[in-house]
Amino acid sequence: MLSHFLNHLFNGIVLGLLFTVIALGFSLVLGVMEVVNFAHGVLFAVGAYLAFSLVGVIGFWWALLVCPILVGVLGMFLELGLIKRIYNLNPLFGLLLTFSIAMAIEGFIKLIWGPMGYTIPAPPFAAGFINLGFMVYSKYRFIQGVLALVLILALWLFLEKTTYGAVIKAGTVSMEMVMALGKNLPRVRTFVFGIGSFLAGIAGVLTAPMWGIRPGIGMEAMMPALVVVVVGGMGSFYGSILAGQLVGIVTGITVMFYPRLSDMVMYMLMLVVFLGRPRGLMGTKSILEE
Amino acid sequence: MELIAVENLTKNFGGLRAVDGVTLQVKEGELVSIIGPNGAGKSTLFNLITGYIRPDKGKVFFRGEDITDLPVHQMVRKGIGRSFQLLNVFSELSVFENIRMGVQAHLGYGFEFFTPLDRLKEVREKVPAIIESVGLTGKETARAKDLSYGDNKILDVAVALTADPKAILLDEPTSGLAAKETGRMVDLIRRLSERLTILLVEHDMNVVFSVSGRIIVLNQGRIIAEGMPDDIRKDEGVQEAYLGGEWGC
Amino acid sequence: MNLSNKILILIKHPITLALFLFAILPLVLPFIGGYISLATEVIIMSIFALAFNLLLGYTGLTSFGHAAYLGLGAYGFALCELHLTQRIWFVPILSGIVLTGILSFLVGYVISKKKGIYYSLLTLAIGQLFYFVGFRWNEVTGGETGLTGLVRPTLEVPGLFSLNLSNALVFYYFVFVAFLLTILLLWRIVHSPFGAVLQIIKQNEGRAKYLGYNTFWYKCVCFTISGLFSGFAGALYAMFTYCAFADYLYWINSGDVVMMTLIGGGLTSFFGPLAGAAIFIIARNLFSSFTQNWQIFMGIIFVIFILFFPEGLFGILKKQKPFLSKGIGG
Repeated sequence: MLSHFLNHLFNGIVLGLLFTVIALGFSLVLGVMEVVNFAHGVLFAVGAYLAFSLVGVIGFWWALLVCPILVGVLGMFLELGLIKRIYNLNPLFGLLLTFSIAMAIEGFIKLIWGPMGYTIPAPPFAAGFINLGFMVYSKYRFIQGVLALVLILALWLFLEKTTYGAVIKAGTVSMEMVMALGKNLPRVRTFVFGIGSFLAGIAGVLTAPMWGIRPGIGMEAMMPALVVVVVGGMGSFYGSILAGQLVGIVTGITVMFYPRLSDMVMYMLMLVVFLGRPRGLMGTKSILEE
Repeated sequence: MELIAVENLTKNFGGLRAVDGVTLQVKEGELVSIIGPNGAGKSTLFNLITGYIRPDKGKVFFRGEDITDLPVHQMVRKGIGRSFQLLNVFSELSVFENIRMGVQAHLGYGFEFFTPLDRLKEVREKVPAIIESVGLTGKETARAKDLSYGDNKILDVAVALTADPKAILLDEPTSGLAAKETGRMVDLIRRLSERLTILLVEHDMNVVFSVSGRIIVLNQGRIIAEGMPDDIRKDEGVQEAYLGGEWGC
Repeated sequence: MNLSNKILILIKHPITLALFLFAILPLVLPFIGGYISLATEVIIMSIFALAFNLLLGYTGLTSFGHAAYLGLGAYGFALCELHLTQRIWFVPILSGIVLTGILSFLVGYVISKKKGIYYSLLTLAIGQLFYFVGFRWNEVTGGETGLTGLVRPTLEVPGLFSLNLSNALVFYYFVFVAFLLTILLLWRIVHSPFGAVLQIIKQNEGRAKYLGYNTFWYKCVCFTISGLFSGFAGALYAMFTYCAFADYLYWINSGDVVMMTLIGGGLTSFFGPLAGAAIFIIARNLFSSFTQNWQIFMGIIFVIFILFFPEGLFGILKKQKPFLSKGIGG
């Protein structure tokens, strides 16, 4: 019973870490550009599909690097061509624009890869189980968790310890600060959107073996991103980590006790937070409140 | 009789103390002006008095009744009207329609779903009088966004009057107005002061000295002086606060 | 005013044109590769879009989970037929409306204090909750399989007539009557004192409060009215498809109704949603019969509209023809 519970708990933790990775990219774009990027989910899907195509060719580790970069580049093109036109407008337009882009990209996915689903197996070295001492756990999930953690740490180091990261952090507070720091604002925004897309893509690659690959996963991935960002607080890095864990663990435990509620639980959390602390657990006031 | 009374009103925004322990009274029929350098907290004070934001400390009384926690729409119904510093009329609507919306609220209408708007004769009939009282006759059908800035400021005051208030708070009514328009507004204020209690925030010293009874000077959220125009003119603390800026008399 | 003047005014009224176009729609559509059921889908979605636009176009509130209320209407209809009665024609429809009305009032009460994007995201979360309740509550909603085997009750006025609604064309005109009712009621509401307040809330909610309006209740009631008509559309939809699925509530359908309303020009015109619904549904149907890749085209078209024609079709038209303008009374 205990190991059963621990298993679910760990699933929740790993899920939470993955949610956090998905959410961080979304949150960055939201924080710096104040755009609710509904295409974030579909970029996640593109990452997964690219992995599907490339893993057989270049192997898992290369795919983990190459696919997200490709998605990041795609993101930057989107920003340059389309997204930049709706900054400073009513946030509704950004939402709808990215929603439409998501629709079109999902169409492209169906065009290129077909409308059916695929599975990709976990990479061979990650198959099977790992003995953690107090319990035996799925090796792949363990690796996912570790990789997600590494990614989060890497992002944190980038934001906290590099000068460019500092510029981006400044951008989440205000754009004027970025300009005051002498940086080219449009280029920063393009880059941030690229990073956000990269993060979406890498999350897609990581989760592909676990969640399967279907055109609809893009829109499905959108929801956890949204929930985590709202619960954690818009624009808060630590909030996304905390909320990711909260949502992941609560979902994981609910799967054990009330499996039917497990999909809903994240929205209930979102609701509770909205009504009690609309800024989220660690959020600060943002322009979106207007 | 004190119409408006404010006790120890305080409001912080983050680390900034916008309004700091302000206590003041406005008697019925008075015209009191609040002046002070930029950032002195004047608009915040208005927002607090009219219930747009909640104070951290202190109370607001209207005709002896504690209205501190009332939401804006209830406070308005008690008899306080307000105009705004930045244009705040319904720009897509005509002058007539702007005022009609106010009268409609005042007469308690709003949840009629199937009555054509024009059927509310009672509402329609009260509008011309208000338009005339502010001098916008002839411009009823003009859309607010097509009117001059001066007309819009007057419309803003007119809309505040639709609630048939006992007291009206005017937030920088002449800001952005040219000389002739300012004169028009000053005339309007004088006419209104004959039947209403007025609390006024202003930057233009000429206006202040020509209409006011009492003057209250605010700086950094605190009252630093209070009195009749002549006393304020001579007050050194006030002159210092303005750094010799805008007395222009 | 004499009779001939009144008739002239009636004929020139934009509603008359809209009704005329919808009256001939099922007869015209087959000529461009459509069919009667497509027209039925268009007209039902038009009711939904009109209901939605009460919130978006008139009050400035974007509900991003509105498909839930369509779905609730469908569920209400289905549950009534499966547990109460299938025979009295208006009862299942009424059930759909009532169920949705009650729930949308509760939702409206909870969300109407919020603003802007928080409001929209909240509606999205609530919409998803409804979706998952539908998807998982197997005992009541049939879960993934949904509720099927519904019927179209015979339209009966005892002693007068009895109409079998299984014929597609007959059913279309039945829905047409519902559409007529909806358009007349909503037009009245929008041009009433209540509608006028909604519009000033959209322009400047703060000032509306300063006029003495308790804007919270206006927004809450507006949401409820929108919910009632959305539920009406949903009940009709269940009647149309003979089933009710959780899928009807999925958030992407919510996105679709926002899209069609915006692109039709709901922000600036009463009739925008009608154009949007018609174009969205007909285009989707036509595109998907020509190509697998209709989604790409639709997505691109939407992108173009949002970037270059945010006022929508009717917004563009209005620059040519001011009579389509909406204003409040006066």
